[in-house]
Amino acid sequence: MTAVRAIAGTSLRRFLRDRSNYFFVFVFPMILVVLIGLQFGSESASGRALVVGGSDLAGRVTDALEARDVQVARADSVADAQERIARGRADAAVVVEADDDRSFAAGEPTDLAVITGTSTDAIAVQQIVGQVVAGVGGTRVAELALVDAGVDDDTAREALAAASGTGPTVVVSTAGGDGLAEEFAGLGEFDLGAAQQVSLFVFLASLAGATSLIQSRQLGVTRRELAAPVTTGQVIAGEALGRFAVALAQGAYIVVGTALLFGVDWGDPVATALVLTLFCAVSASAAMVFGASLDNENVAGGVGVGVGLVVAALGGSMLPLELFPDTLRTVSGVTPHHWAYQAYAEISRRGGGVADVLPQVAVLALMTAILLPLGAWLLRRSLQRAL
Amino acid sequence: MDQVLDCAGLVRRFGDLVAVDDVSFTIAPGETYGLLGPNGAGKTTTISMVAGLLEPDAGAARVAGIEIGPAAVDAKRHIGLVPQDLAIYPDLTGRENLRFFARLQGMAKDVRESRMGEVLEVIGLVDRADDLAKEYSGGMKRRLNIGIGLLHRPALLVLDEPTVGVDPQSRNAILESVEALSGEGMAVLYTTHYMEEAERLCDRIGIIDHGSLQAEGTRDELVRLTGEVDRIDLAGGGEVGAAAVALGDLPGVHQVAEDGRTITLTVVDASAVLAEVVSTAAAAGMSLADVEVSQPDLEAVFLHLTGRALRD
Amino acid sequence: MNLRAIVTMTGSDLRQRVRDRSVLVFGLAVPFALMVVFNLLFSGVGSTEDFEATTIAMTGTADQLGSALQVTFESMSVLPATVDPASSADEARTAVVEERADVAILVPEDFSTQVQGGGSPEVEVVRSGDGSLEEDVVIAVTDGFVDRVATASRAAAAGGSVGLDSSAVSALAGEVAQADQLVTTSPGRVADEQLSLQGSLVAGQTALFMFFTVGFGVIGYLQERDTGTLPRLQSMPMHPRDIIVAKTLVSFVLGLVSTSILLTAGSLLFDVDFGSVVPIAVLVVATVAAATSLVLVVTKVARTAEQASTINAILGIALGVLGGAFFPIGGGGWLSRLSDLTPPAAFIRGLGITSAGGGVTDLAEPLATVAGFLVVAVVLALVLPARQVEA
Repeated sequence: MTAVRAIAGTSLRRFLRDRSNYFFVFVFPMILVVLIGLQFGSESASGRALVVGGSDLAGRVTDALEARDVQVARADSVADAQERIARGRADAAVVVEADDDRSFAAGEPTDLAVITGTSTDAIAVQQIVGQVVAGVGGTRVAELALVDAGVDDDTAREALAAASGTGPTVVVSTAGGDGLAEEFAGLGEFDLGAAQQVSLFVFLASLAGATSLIQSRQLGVTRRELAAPVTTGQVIAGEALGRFAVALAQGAYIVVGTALLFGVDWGDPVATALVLTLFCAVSASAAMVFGASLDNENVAGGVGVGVGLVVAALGGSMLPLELFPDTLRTVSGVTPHHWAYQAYAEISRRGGGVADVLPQVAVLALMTAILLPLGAWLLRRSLQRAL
Repeated sequence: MDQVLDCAGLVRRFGDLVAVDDVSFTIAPGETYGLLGPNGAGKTTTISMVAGLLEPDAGAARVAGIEIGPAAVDAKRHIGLVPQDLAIYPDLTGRENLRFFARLQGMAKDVRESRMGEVLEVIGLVDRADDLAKEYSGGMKRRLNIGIGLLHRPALLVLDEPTVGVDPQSRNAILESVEALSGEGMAVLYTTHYMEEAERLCDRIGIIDHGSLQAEGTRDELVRLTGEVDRIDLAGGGEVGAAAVALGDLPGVHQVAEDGRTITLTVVDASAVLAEVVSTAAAAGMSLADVEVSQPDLEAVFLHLTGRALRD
Repeated sequence: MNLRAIVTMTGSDLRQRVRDRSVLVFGLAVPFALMVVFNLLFSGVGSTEDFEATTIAMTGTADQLGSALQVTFESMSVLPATVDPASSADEARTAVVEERADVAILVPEDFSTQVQGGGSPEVEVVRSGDGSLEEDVVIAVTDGFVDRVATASRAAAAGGSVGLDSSAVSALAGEVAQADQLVTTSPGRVADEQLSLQGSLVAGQTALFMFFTVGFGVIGYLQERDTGTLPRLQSMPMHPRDIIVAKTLVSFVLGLVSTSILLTAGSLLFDVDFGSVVPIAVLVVATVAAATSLVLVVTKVARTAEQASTINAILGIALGVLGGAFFPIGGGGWLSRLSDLTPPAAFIRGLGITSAGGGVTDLAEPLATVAGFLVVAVVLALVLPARQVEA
């Protein structure tokens, strides 16, 4: 145990000596959490729409969209709307030409062009636009029917507006009370981003840090360690422990930092700590497998960042798992991110406790139990190769 | 221009630190000149100016009559620099390393290839020429490192501490090849903090400390500077400091240097004062473990000139 | 300027970078893997695969409006649906929980009466929670139906409030309920330069990794300082400036090659057409030059090669995220204006323009952005004092 602790301590000290690590591990993730929070948080899940035209119809469409929590902005022209959508600045645009407004006022069939982008929100926004436009049309039909009955247009409008609370409504609920619609309901501005970023950065930084294991071998330190009465298992355990400590510090920092700075609600602290700890253990073990299987430090740094990004994307750290196609969601089960994501969701969205995340925790523990011995075996083999 | 190298009043500062202060010396064709001094004395900075890596703040170095500096391309052609650190590319083979630097030297293709063959022969890497340099042993890397400096037959070969961290066998091989090159008429500038190497290789030696040249000349000329005194080294424990003070008062003792465990004395005639030195040291409370008497050498010269031992 | 020496150093560096495989991994393999993963992820979102037949458990089918809704469901053109009448709300809910029905519609037994009486009854849609698109369709249809009923009852209420008699009111309600949809939508023309999802992925990842790839050249300068080869290079018969020129050239060549390969392979694999070669080439050259100039600044600031790599990676990811390499920066605020100034944003936008058939002159705006970035970076690189290394 002394040997393991000594190796872990040295690994940790080497990490702390390099100042640039601090930025990568501590400052940078926070910046990204803020950026992603700003992006997805403030502009609620209902998306962003543009309305072209300043007429009565345009105004009615705008009000109706806003009533459905869509963020609406005015576009100066069709070209302006097209450009903003092409650049991903909005999800869809409703074009109201002067002709449209005239035929709408006259109660003649009116067809509005809707420009849609390629963003993931675009389809949902398009659907909302369709419903909203139908509703606006229905109201106009009612107004005109009142006019036909001898009421003047302004009075008809006011009377209809006053009656806006009348009539049946639709409510949507979920059987069992736990579905996608309610998934994101309780989430604050930064909640989603923070949970995903924790996994992404802890794993990525661990893999990138695996270069220290390669350095140790290149400098001959590992050989020297093994010349002492120390086994490869102990070397791996020591190096992994050092990595684990860094990962845990980083993870805890992001959790506490986002909770204090941005009011992210992480839910039950004990359960969160448990999931984070297990995730850090998997990350550290994965880093050992990685560091033992590659010999070139420069290549390893690059591959580490690359693999870290790809695995994170696959594990739901870039796009919520709930939005994955079914097959891919199954595939993503091989990533630790997947299980951590589900566990955090259980804790922060549904108020779960330790007992509720035990399945996910068990999977993470199993991953560690497989990766760590694999790392030791690979390290033993790597020492038989010339570096 | 009968001198290969002519340094006149070289000065180089780094911020407030004057690393090299008014250093002047010359090297003639076929001559091996040693710069001897402890680590941090200014050897590498001097060499960096001579090899055109650094612009001097004052003074000038002329190689084959041309003033050298970072932009002095023509002067640089006459220089072969062997840096202290291994200056080879691990991901290239030995031959590729040689070819790369030969091309940078502007050597024409036919000359280049035949010359590379010769150099590989000299450094004993013909068999391994096409292996990656990272697969070489430490000694092979060192030899390749030196070989690159010889490619273009420079008028002046500059070797910066080429034997630091080298095993005795390789070290001897390096010293022999320097002697051979010198025999062929190449001028060599050699820095070291090993006095034995300087004594063995160098026709003339400059002693450098705190950035300035303390003395220069042949070995014998330098030794004469000490007044041809002998040296007594006392090693042991106890009251070493008190013993040093007491010994300083003895007649016939020129200089005393003390580092906590050993005392080094320069004396006119060791045999005349030895008995008194030993009894004085013992009386002052020093417990003697070892006493050594030596004839003057460069170490003594350095001590005489700077008041401290070479290997501080 | 010693051209021969510069070419020699550039060639030797390129050979070494290929040999240690770092560029291949970071410049090609990783961005390509990310493109594939992202494509798998995003193209699955909202895909219009064929809808599966859906069973709806429904109450209130005996009611007049309820049965009209049932007919509406059974005649949906996009989605084949069967309606299972249920006798109570609990029965319908249980059917969903036990997966005998995909979704339940709870219409009150006296729905029509309540509506006619000017009340506000609720129709409840109970979904299974698996987030299927079929559910969304059923919800949308229910919404549309109830909306129309609500409009009619609002018309009736309004008619009553302005003093129409009851026969006029019911005629009014009937007229509104029967009316065709007044306002409809149809797909508008998207901008020609709008990249497809795959197009944005290829452009974004290429722009992001350009910054990593160019790092392998210029940062090599610091590496040589760390490994000790720099003094030897400086002692060679050439101007010291030639060394940094060669390293810059290495960055530039690596950036050009990897960017070209990524764009070509990406457009072939994902069937994206970025337009004609000449304007794309101009855009690539300009953006790679800007990325290279940034690495020059990094090299001036960093003390070791490792530090430079880290700073470079941080700047690369930051610029990539800000420039919309992962997702576009939305809104019209300062963040999106800042985003516009980054080379990745200009690059992605430029590729949109070329994909729409734009030529070099159409690229004026993105090119000006990139040029501005380049000038600022080069000036910084020249003005910043080099870290002095004591010899």
